[in-house]
Amino acid sequence: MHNISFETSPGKIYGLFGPNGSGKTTLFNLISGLYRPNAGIIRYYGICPKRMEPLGIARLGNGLARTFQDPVVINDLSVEENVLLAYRLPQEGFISLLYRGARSFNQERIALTEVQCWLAHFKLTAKKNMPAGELSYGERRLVANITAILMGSGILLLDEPFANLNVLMIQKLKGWLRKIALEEKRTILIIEHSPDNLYDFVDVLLRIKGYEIDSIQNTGDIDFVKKLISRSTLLYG
Amino acid sequence: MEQLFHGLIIGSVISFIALGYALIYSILKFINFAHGEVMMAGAYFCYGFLSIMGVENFHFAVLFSIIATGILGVFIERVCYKPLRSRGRLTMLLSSLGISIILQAIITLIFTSSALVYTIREKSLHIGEYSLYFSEIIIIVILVISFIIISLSLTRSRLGLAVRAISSNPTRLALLGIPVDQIISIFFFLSSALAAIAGIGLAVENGLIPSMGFQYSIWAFAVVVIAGLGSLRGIIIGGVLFGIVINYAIVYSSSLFANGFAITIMALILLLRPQGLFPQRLREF
Amino acid sequence: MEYLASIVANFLIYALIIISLNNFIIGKTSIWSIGHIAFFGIGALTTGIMVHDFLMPGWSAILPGLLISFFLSLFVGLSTLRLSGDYFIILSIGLCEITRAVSHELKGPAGMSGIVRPTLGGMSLDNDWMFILLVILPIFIAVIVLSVRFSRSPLERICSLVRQNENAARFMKINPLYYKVGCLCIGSLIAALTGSIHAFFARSTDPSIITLYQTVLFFSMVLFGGINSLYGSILGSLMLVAVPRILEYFINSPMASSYSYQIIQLMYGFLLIFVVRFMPQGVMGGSKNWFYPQENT
Repeated sequence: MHNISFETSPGKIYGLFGPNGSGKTTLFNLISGLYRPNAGIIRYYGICPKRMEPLGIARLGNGLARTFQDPVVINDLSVEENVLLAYRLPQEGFISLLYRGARSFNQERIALTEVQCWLAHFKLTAKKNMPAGELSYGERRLVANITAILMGSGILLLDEPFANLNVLMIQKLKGWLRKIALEEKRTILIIEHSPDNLYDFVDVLLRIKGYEIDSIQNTGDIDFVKKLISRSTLLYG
Repeated sequence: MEQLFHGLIIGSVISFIALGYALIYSILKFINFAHGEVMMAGAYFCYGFLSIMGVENFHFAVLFSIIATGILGVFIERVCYKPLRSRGRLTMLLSSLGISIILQAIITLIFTSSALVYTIREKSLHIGEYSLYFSEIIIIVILVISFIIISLSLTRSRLGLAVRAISSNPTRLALLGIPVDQIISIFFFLSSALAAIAGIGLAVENGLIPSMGFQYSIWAFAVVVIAGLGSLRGIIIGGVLFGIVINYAIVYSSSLFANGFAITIMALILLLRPQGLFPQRLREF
Repeated sequence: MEYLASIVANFLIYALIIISLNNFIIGKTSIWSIGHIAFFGIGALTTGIMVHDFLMPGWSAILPGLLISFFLSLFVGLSTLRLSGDYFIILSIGLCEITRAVSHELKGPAGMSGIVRPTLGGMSLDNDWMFILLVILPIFIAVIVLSVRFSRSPLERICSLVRQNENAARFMKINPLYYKVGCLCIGSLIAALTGSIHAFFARSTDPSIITLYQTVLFFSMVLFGGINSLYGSILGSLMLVAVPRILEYFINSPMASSYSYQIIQLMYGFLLIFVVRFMPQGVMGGSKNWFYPQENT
């Protein structure tokens, strides 16, 4: 990838699209620190980190959370335990073997309540104790999305969050994402192929074409978006 | 001088064992812990052919042993490793641990744990004041031949390609009609046959004892680590050198010290240069 | 009476070893510590030498063993940064062999004897049952409590995450190294403590436990009982103690008893292969996913 340069502002949703292999996931990997750039810098919350690696970047400022094209979910843990992993509790390290204070238990209780509330919202309550490895592909993606969102990070990178989900879930997810973007001023980047999910949802469209990125304001018109996508696919796909 | 030659033989033995590990690792990406015991089984096969079945000619006994050990290796692979191939290398590794103690137990039950020697009458070659057994010479000759064959296979990069292909995705290759299972079995046969040669050679030098497999496994590990799992030629050279050095160490100090020394070197290399002194280059077998 | 005491003590000691391996290392991390038994040996040997040769007071003689094991396990854990799975296994085995070599070098192939048991508050612990009740059993219970606390704490979730996908853990602000090395340290310390206690109980050390053969035994029990299963570990220890006795009972001929070692070897080898092939989750239903390699996002 060459000459990628763009800025994001908090509270906005960005839709990243482009033909297959154009580097969308690569961009996510760069931003999240999985890949290191050969040249150039990435700033998070205005800060340029000393080392471009996942752990450090995740801990910068208000944090960063991401999902993967192939949803990652911990097979051994139940759905509920998976989503609980989004929360960083006090005394969750080895200290907890010896002593765990009331504050830690309280935080866990609060987290659990929140988790159960959202699982109910997405109709997963019946499966909350099921090992996550036994979920369907779409359910796994849903769980991964919920976990990433509940991390509460200022930056959220979602790789094809709507794939394999049914319409109701997609609507609920969109509603939630729009809410957190607006109210909590979080920056959300989404990789998405389908114009249906982009036209009424994202604020800014980011088109990756060739080796460059274009930033286009979303007009809310589905035909506009459709044309945009098909053109980029035709020329470079 | 005699010590040097003795070390050369030991080194050749270690090279063969190390090669066996490297061959299986290159194709299946797992460390076959049973390999050392297969070597021991090879040595004991020969003993069995000579003493129990009364084969007169030593060289025929050796030949039979090599074939028998090769078959043993393939048998183990088919029964134990093949079904687990899809389940991950860890499971194969655990199985190989199990097989190693099974083999050791069986051999000890049949042949007792006391040291044995081959009852052979062999011609020796006299060079000046040193005398060499014919079989010792053969071992060195086989070593040199293997080295040449492996060096030549550099130009036959198709073989290297096949190995890399199989090691990365055997199921897909099988779907393409390539006889992956057969190739793997051939590798096991080769590796076990080499082990048998090593075992018999060792038995000629030092006699037979059921723990010989494990001891030499450790040294073969050290050679493989020091030379690098990918480089077969490096392993041969490294093995020979290692054998010479270890031999001097044992003779002039103690075998315990030699052991500790070898393992320390191995640990150092693992930490400082885990890919070995001759790291695997893509084009090389 | 003494015979029964030694059986009970062996059961508890084996259980401690298996738990330290299964419920703190194998069941919580993706680390394959095949040389784990070395820590037991280090604990035993260090304590024995401190008490016998340096006349250190009994209980404090346990500390050097713990210290050495702590730093060694730190070293081993950090080496996972540089070494891929296969090379790490070789290192682990190498460490085990070095420990055995050191033990042979210092105290000979039969180990040392004449280790004096410490006293507890002035009271002598020469009676085997007293030692079991006042020393081994409390430690056993403490370790079990620790293990249960572990599985009920957030640690269990985090370790499962780290085990399956380290990069995903990093994205969740979790440092995988901290948890992997931490678990390894705890397991190794427990093993070292167990070694020290065993040295006191048996009043001797025996390096024959630091061999690949014993390792296979313990690993086969870990798998047989079920990875990460506490009940499984205890079941495994029960098997290790009961099987030789049952064998003794049924095979009464004196000739066979000299081969009992090999027969047991054979049994456990077959058991390991059988379990790995047909029952990888073990009797008590441990984690099956543990065998699959780390995911790479």
